[in-house]
Amino acid sequence: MNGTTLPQPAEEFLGRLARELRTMGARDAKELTEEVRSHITEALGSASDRDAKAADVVAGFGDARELAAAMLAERAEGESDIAAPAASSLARFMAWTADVVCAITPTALLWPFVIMFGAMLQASLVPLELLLAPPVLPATAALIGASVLAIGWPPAYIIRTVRNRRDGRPTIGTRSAGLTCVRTHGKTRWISNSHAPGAGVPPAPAVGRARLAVAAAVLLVATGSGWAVAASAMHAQAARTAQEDAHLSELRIQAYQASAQGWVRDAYAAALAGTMDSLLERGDRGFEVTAESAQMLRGFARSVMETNVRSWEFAKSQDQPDVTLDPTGDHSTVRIRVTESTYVSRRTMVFFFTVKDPQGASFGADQSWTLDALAADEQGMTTEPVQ
Amino acid sequence: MVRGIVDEFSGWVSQLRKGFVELLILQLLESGERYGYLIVSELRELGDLVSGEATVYPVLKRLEANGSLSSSWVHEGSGPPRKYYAITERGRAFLAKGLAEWDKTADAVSRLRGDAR
Repeated sequence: MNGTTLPQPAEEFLGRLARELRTMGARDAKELTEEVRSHITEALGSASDRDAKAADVVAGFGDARELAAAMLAERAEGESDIAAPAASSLARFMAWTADVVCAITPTALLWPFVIMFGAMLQASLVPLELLLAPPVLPATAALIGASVLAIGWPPAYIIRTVRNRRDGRPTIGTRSAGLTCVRTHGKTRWISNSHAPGAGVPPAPAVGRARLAVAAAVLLVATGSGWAVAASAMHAQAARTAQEDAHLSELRIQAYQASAQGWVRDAYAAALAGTMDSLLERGDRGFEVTAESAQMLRGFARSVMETNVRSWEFAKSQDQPDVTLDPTGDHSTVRIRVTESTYVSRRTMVFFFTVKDPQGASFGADQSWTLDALAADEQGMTTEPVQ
Repeated sequence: MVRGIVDEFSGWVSQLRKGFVELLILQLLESGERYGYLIVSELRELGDLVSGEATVYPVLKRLEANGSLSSSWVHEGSGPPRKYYAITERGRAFLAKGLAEWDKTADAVSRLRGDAR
């Protein structure tokens, strides 16, 4: 308010006064101190010896602590001079109702989303790992934030409202009900505005309500958008998963039904149908190898090794890493690549299979299996998809 | 003994002045609003009825708190801002009742003193 610097005696006095007022709990300590500063400034006027004059003026105020205590005590007594009756029960009830409604309303619109989100998680309709996937993570975070807000806002608002009421600060409910707080010997009383000091002065506008409405609208739009993104992503992913599961099931059926020699032929047929592409491209969901198909593969691998020793020599040198075989004799070829690392181990081989049609077109990426091909007995040979 | 009487009298005077300082301030402001320094200065001119700032400012807070006075900060030119006090309707009502009570009390004391003579 006033940036004028006074002589040291005055500044020291004002500093002490401000501290004492704050210590005694005066929220308007600054204003009270500024009023005294203004008085001292007026008193000094154009005095020649400002320091001496300031000391005289300050002496007129007495001790800073006593002055602070006197001002606050007199003010408290003045507040108790008001003989206005407390607000009616109806007015107090309306005030509390308004405050409770304000506590609940902003988050009421969030609760349907929270309930739906929780129900979906509980029913395991959407796997948790999907919700944490990068494309969906922002929407998931928005939903979690909205849930925290929906659950935490009402009690936090109520607690703050109770504290404000206790400390005499107006709330949306008290403003709506036309109540004003007066303090009587340190206790707060809520009375009708018409009985309050300064009655007739229009109350301060309820800016809080407007801000609350804007915040609720922004929150609703953000949450709704996040939910829409999450729902569409989940729906699309669920559709893709269902489609691929059905697709893969069909391929599995085809594999299980294939004989040792017919496996290649069936794989070739599936490739021709265009379905092998999706299978071979799915690096994380390989062909499930059962004992039956493992038997097929072991037999196939053994025959390859027994009849194609030179092929391995070439493979080791990596000059011709791929060995093209035509085990069924119908020009359906299976290209086999043996990697250096697997050859060194001599106990495992990695077979990379691609399928080529007679025209030479190959289908999809390589699919690989690890075989323990040099075990002494059949039980030592295991097959498992390479991840 | 004498010292005790002096102390007791000082206390009584203090209590007495505390009562009518409010009336003095309200009476002063009924003729127009004033800021704190001016109020103290004009009251001082009445004599030693008012001890000074330490008395006036707390009373101003009381009168403002019970609605007898209203206040507002005014920035005038390059000088310090001043907090002006003005009497309210409630203050005028209180002043009227207070002066009536004062007159009644003064009249009673005068009659007692007259009877005593």
